[in-house]
Amino acid sequence: MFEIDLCEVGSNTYVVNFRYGKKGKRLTDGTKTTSPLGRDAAERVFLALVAEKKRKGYVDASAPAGGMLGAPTPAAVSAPARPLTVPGVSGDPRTRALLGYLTAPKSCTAQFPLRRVIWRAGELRLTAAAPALRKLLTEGDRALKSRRGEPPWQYGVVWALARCHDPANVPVLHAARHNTSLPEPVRRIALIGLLDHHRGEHLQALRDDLKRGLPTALAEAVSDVETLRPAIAAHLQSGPEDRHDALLQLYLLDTVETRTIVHEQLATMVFVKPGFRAVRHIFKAAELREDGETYGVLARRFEVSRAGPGSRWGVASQDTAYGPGTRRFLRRRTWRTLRRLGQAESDAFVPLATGVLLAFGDEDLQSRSGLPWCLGQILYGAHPAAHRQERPLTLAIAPEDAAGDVRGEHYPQLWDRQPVQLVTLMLRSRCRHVHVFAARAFRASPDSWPLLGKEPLLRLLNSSYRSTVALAADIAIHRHDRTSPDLEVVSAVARCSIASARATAMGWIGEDTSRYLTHVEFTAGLLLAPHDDTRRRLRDALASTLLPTSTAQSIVARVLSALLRGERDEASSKDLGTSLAAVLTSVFSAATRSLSLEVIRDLLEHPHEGVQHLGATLLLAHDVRPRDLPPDLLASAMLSAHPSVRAVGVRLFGELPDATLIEREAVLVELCANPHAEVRQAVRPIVGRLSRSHPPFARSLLLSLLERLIAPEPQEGLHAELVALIRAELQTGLHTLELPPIWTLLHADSGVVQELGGSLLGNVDASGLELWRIAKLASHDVLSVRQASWRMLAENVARLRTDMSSAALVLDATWDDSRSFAFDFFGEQFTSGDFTPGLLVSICDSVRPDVQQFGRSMITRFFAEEDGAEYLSALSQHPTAAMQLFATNYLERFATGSPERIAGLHPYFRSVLCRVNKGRVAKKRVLAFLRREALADAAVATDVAALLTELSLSIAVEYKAAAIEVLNAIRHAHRGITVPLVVRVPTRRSGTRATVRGSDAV
Amino acid sequence: MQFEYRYLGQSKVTADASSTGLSFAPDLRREPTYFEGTVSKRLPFREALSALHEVVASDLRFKPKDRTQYLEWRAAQDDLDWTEVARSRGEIQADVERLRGELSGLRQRSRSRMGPFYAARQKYFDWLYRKDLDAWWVLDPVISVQPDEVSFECFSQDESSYGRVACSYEVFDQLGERACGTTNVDYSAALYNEFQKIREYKDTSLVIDPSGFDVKTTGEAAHREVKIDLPDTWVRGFLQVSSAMTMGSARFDLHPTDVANLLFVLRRNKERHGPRSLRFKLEPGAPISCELEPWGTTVPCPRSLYTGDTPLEIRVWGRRRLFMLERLIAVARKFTVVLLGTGMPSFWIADLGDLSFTLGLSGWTANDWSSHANFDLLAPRTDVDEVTAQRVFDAMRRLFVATPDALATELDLGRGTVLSSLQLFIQAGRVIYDMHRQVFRLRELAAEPLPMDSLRFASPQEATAEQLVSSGAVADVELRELGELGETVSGVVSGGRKPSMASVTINPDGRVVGAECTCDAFVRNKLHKGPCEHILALRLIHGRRTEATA
Repeated sequence: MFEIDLCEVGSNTYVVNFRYGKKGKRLTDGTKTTSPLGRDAAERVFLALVAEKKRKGYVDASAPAGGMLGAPTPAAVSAPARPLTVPGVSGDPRTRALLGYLTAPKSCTAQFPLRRVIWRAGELRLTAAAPALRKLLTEGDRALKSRRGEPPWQYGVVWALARCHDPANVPVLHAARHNTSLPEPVRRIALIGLLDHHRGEHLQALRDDLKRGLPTALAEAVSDVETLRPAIAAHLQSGPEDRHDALLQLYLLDTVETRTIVHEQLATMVFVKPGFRAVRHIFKAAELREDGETYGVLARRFEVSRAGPGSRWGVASQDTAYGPGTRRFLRRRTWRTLRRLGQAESDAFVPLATGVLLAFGDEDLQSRSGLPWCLGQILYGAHPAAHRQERPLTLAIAPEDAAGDVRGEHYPQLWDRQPVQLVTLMLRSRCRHVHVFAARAFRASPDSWPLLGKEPLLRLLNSSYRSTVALAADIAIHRHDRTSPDLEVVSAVARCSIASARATAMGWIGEDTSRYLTHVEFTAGLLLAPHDDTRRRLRDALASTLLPTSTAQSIVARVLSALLRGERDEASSKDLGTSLAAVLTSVFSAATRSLSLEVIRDLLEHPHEGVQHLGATLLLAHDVRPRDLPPDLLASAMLSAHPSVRAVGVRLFGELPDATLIEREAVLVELCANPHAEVRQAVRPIVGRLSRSHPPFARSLLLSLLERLIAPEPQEGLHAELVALIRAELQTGLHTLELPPIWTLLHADSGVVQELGGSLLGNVDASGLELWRIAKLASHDVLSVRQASWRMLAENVARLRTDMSSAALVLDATWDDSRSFAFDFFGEQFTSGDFTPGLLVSICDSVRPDVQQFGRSMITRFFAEEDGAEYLSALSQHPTAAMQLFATNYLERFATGSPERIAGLHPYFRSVLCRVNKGRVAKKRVLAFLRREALADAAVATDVAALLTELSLSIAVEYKAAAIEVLNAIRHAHRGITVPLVVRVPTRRSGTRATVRGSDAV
Repeated sequence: MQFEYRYLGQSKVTADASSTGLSFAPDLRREPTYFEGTVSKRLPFREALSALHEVVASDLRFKPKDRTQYLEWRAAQDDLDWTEVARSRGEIQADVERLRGELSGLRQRSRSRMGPFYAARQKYFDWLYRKDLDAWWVLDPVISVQPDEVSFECFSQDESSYGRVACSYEVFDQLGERACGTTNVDYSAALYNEFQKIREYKDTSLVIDPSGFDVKTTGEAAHREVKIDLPDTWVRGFLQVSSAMTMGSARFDLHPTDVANLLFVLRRNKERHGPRSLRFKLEPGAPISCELEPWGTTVPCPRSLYTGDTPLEIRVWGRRRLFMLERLIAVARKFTVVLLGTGMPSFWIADLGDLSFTLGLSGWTANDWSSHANFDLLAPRTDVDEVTAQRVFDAMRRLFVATPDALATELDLGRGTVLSSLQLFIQAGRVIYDMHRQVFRLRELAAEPLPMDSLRFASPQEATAEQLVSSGAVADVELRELGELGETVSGVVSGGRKPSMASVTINPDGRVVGAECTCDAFVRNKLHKGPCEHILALRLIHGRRTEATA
């Protein structure tokens, strides 16, 4: 912005000043007239400057702003649908071909040698192959000869025999077990085969035999888990080198107790030498026997347990039993075994896979980039969106793909054949992915739904996995029969975690309330349901049902006793308590109003917040009113450890007679300033009621609360809330407040409290307030206080006239808005009579440029000729350049011809002339003035000569030249005054004249 | 270093149309010090205190330009440039134009919507800055009441300028009660604003409020405890400048207009490259002249003659700090300049009649290790035994102000011994040399004695370097001239497990611009963690050599 002034500085003398700079910032002053001009000349300068600025593009500030652009339209995006692919089905094993190879080993090819034929027969459990296998074991074959590094050929044959169940295998396996010439692994496999072949007493005999082979301590403990656990721990801690073999023996005993212990050990033991050998043996045994549970425990361990140190530069560490390579092999082998079973369409695939899936829990799937390899392959191996990741070996699938409707598992037809296994998964698994998979697979074959019994269905409805509950709810809705509903199932659906299912079940109930709700157990169960919407719908249904009093009482009693038994955790009981409080007091009000106070006492003494809250609410709605309550009951509600209960306690407290409450003012103040928001909220209506009915009490309470506001805030936000309470509930008391407490509020530390004080100032009569205090309020940090100060000033113009110096403090306020108010106010309300020169000068004394500017404009406006000399003498002492420039306006009129005044202004002249590279106009005016006066008066000339002698040292040519010129003029005008000038006559050249040059030499 | 003060209330100025009252709240943790008087020479007093304020608030340290906004703009511009490249390739031109229009529209909207927010936020920050302005200053000024004068001392935030205003009692009309001593006073920006309202026609009183010392037991709540954590470098700088006061090697007077001329050249020009020094040329009996580099402008001082015996040429740096003297030019009779040597501290004493203002400037505005002047100033000059030193100090405590001769006569000691003892106390911040009156004065900088052991050297490396130089562990020192680039000093420093070969390059401004060493510390850290002791030792040797040749 650019401001241009045409100012009258004397009779028919004018100056043109300007200011420029950014809006709202400090403006830079300047002038176009170094010496005052006549009106016409000044106007010409003024108009020329205005025209020049307009040419440069300055315009009126009130130009309209440009319009806005329309909002861009978002582009619609459509994604192509993903094609659905169905995984292929593997072909059948060629049983006949295998049998052919076995009976004529010579026909085997290099690609499919006899060893693999035998193994494949075992894999497929070909009973028909047993005779051929037995023959091979007893007679041997040239094609089976072991080469170096290969396992003994008998191993594979015995393994296949063990898997191909045939009673005739028993003697062969028996012989192999006891044939000491055979390697140990072969005899071990033979033993496993025998265990699988034997039944009844033979099996028992074999197990007794195994038990005898155990160390005595273990053998004695096998029938009891609790004794076996420490025994095996002690044995594994400090047994002989082969101590871990006992694990395999225990596993082969295959009782409930030994299985538990072995699984515990397998799940926790560290995979190091020498124990890992036993792990490998158990893994192979489990694989052979298709023992899904044990197989799963190990499969999970291989997935989640990190490998020991691996080989370095190709040399495996001697101590590592479970290195990275081993781990990778075992992880891949678990799935490979399953895959081969699946490819062979074997019924063993599903139980074995189930075992693996059950072993995993949600905790194993956290912080991983993909799913464990084996688990992932089973669940999503054939999913088009799943892909294999190397290092670490995992199967990755996006969560939305995993949760979709596409069945991504391998061999879905095998799973469909065994829906019971899917139900097992849903009942027992601890893994979300498994539940999603099982529910999806089970949903896909509705034919198998009837297989699901009521008991499992109820368990599935209670599951914590959403997909499973959704499936179970769908099945239950599907089976629902309106004519003879199963109350247990309906109750379970109404309490399940699927909102739509709950709504459906509550719909059934709503249609036939008398059938369902008269059932005490049923209704009480629903009241205790974990979801609030169930209870809300139940409340609506109950509202339209007329229950016999005894039934209602039984329901309430059952609900309360269930709550008091305390089977829930703190958090769930909190929600339940709050929600139950609403239902019981509305629907069962008759039953709860007359409830025994002892029961309520029990509820109030319960440790859980929800139960206490329910007790307090029941007390609130009880027939016995607070004044008749035993005092300890009211106290236990108000002194509860839980704020929400205390809030209800406060409401009870509020129901005490007003007279009692007024007596307990201190308690009310404490409650208002309570650290807990619930309590403060609860006490608000009580305070409001009392303040309306007892105004004197409201005032006394208000004063007590104001004391809290002035004290330091004990907790953040408390002052703000107290102020809100005062504003809302104690409004009547507020209007009666006098100045002293308001003044204290204004000087409190907290902003909100100051704000309150500011709003109260609006009602205060300013006549009792000193003017300087009002003026000081204009510098307050809170806007409402400043506004109040402005209002008071505006209302007290007459008083201000009597004490202008106090009022002028507003002009120097620290806030821009106060100052701009003051500028307008002083400019409009006061006239020349109100301003003394001393006051105007003190306004100019401010250090703020805008106040100085205002002071200057006021001096110009109210200028009186007789005060000129005073202005000149006072303003000349101002330290700023702008004020010094302003003072030059008065030099000519009030100092001309007055040697005393000129002598008094000597420091001013020095100060102006010594400014470094600043104040050109002021310097020029002063020099012109000094020259004129020095020429007129010899006494002045002496002083001026001394001053300019100093200035003539300047290296600023403009002022040096001016000083020398004045000195020269003085020299000519007053012969008696010596000036340090030496006249040198330059050597004459053609056309040049003698000139006077100054020299600084003293 | 932790400094703790306790004030009763705040210093305040009461100003109205006819009077101004300055009432300072003194530190109550120190010995009672108070004063009352009415100022008679008001305008010089105002100007001197304003100049002192300039020192308190001055901070000329280099502050790198905040380029974040430019870099953001640059990144956006780069994007535009790239689109320009793409545009020239053809079909997407129309698209780019449309999007660009849309984008500029969005930006415009964002600006117009966010504008009020930014404006309000800026206003809030400005308010916060104004409200808490005092937090930006470092240490409250020190006031000393002496038998013959009252003085105000302060040190700037950038640790490079020292200011002292001394008001002899002729400045005051009516003197009230007083107790000699030194104290800190509570100081604030509001006080400075009120100083500006001092006028000749207003009664002006100066009070160092004695009331706080009486009400120790009752008004505890009204006391304000102030704790200031001063950097050690700040205290070191203060002590170095005080210590340098006794060492003047060249002293001459300048006419106020000469100072105005110096400032005139500095204000009219801006230096874009070095050297940025003032080069004083002192010839015995001849007018002083001063050259301002790099412009080569010479300011002659025809009425100021140099009265010394030997011709000197002394360069000083950090000349923009001289603007602190600007307000004094109009009221000063003369300026006395004391120079210690090239790159060493300098002192400018303005004589205002009964008032004097001393401006002490460290060798450079940046008071860091790369100039050599800082190393020696706190070094002990001669050994004096503790008992003698204590005797001298006790005498000072009794007298408050004394010349060394008077002390020597009174204590019956040699003048040299007295001077050495006084030097010790100056280094410890307990005594000060008054350059204007040329006497020693008692002035305890802090209530408790300063820990001199930790203050003498800025780092353990400096201590080791000093030790290496004094034990003669630096050999083969070579100096190589690089012309305009300055010179390089190299040498072999033994003393560690193996000798290190170090070199230091010093520019024509006398500052280190490059250094190298073969020691472990340098190989690992370069100069990121400060220089190693070998580099510092070479710097020290170079500094002492140039001093000796100058």
